[in-house]
Amino acid sequence: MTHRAGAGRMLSTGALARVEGEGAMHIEISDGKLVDVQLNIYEPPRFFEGFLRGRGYEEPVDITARICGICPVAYQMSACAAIEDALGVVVDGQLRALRHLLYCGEWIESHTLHIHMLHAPDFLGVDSVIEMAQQHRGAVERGLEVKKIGNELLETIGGRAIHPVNIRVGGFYRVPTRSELDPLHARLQHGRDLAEQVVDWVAGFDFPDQDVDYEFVSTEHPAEYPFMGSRIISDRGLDIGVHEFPSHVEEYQVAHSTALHARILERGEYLVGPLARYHLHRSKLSPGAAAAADRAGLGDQCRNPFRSIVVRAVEVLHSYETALDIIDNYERPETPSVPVVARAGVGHGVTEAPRGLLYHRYEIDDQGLISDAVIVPPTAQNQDMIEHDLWHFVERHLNLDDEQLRRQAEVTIRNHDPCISCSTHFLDLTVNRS
Amino acid sequence: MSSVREPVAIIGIGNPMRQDDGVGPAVVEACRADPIAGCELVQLDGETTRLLEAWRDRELAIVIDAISTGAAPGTIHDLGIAQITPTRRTDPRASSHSGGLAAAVELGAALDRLPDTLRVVGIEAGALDHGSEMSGPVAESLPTLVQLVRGIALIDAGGVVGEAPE
Repeated sequence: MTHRAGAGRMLSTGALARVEGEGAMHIEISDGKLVDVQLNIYEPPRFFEGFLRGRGYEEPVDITARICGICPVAYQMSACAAIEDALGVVVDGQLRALRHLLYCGEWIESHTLHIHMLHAPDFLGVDSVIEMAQQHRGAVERGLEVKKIGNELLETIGGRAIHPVNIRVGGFYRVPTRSELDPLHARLQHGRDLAEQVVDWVAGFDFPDQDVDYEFVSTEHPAEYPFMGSRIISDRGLDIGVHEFPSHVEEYQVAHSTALHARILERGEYLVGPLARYHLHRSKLSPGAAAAADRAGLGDQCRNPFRSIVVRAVEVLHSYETALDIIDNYERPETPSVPVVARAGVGHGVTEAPRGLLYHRYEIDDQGLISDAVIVPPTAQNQDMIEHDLWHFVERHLNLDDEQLRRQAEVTIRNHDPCISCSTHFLDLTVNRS
Repeated sequence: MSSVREPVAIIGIGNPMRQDDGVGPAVVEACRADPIAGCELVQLDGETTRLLEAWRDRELAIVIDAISTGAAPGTIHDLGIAQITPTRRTDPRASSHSGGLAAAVELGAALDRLPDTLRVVGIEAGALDHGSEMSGPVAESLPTLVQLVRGIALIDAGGVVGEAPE
């Protein structure tokens, strides 16, 4: 919808298509100058943090999985990390490797969905994956197969693909036998080969020029491309323990969004997600993924958000190769979980959801009940940066007609694969009576 | 990973934690209590690619979903493929990652991934708030709905399925 008043124009997209959840966009131009850009998130608040209070420490793992049908494992993993931190539980060795394997399945599924169903149509000049299927059938079928194998991985380790049920504080309810994992090997090898083709395919798209001066933030692990990290780092010197996240990152409200925004204290907006991980941890990619990134011309860093589709494809390939490595070295743990004893405490956990760093914090009382919960999803953290991207893109393309500008602005938002359903979780209600 | 596919699938779409949206999964659970041979029971959230996979290579797929047409809550709609129009795709509130049933039908047609016969049984939702309790009219219609779905599975499949042996 476009309104014109004198020399000004105002573009509004009442509902963003091909993003996850319900959001809108507002751009205002006056006297030929851009005066306002807003990513409006109007998805209703979901109150997850509120209704976790009073629940047992075992429950957030399954309850928070319900925040998202696309990235439930991320919520389960960050919840486990935070609660295990509070209870002094360490999950390592093959149990940790199995969690990593499950997470690979989610990265494969989520990224492949975004690449093929949501993002690729933007670069192929079609409106939807349905139109894309008519013109690029082989690419869509390949994408469906790459995603399906990720699904199979989730089902095998997690018990089911949607909201997996096999994860618990301390490990799993059941761990697979060697013979249950063996059939996956050939499927993962097939998926790996297809994923390599996907990188080469998306690398050939035409991308608009854009170079954004992001502060990249991600979790950090000394040896791994981060899925489950032990610290949080940025390319501008942030290097903190997970428990220090609340003292360095501030969540705040804006009038136009039901999701909280986030900024690094005394510095401002930052970006989490594939571009950040790639920039900070490129050297830890699996060999095939690193080679594919080289072929794709990504270099040491990628600051063009339009090319995030290539980075996602590289991360899918990395996930396949990591999953193969974990299965090759799998030895069934003697017990599916380590002992857990309830005690009072505060715990913090971060892991890398497909869209970026996902932080959980829980306070647990001496009865093992949750007394406070904080969840900071990646899309909430990226909102300021998405608006920043929108501002700069629109400012440089004011000459485009309204329809072209609207379409390109929507692509700018989709570059970051926002999951609005995940980020909408908070409403501070104040009642004034007089 | 499934090796041999059953010729028929009963697919319940919805979220059991959003009241009447859980009617599809509720039908699947009711059918699970009295299995039909040759018929696979599937619960899904409605995401397009999972739907495509669930009904791929089936002789018959019966999809059960809560719908909203303005009819009285609890009204049962027995629909064929031609009646599944892409309203959700053009709905201004359309959420993308699921895409929905209409998108799955369109994409399935483009990729030749539709079942031989697709039947959609919709039930008019009355309440879609948080919670696992279905509204009165939908809960009352559930036994009829289960009977209808079982009847379609047993009759429309042309003899490829049957009552499971004791």
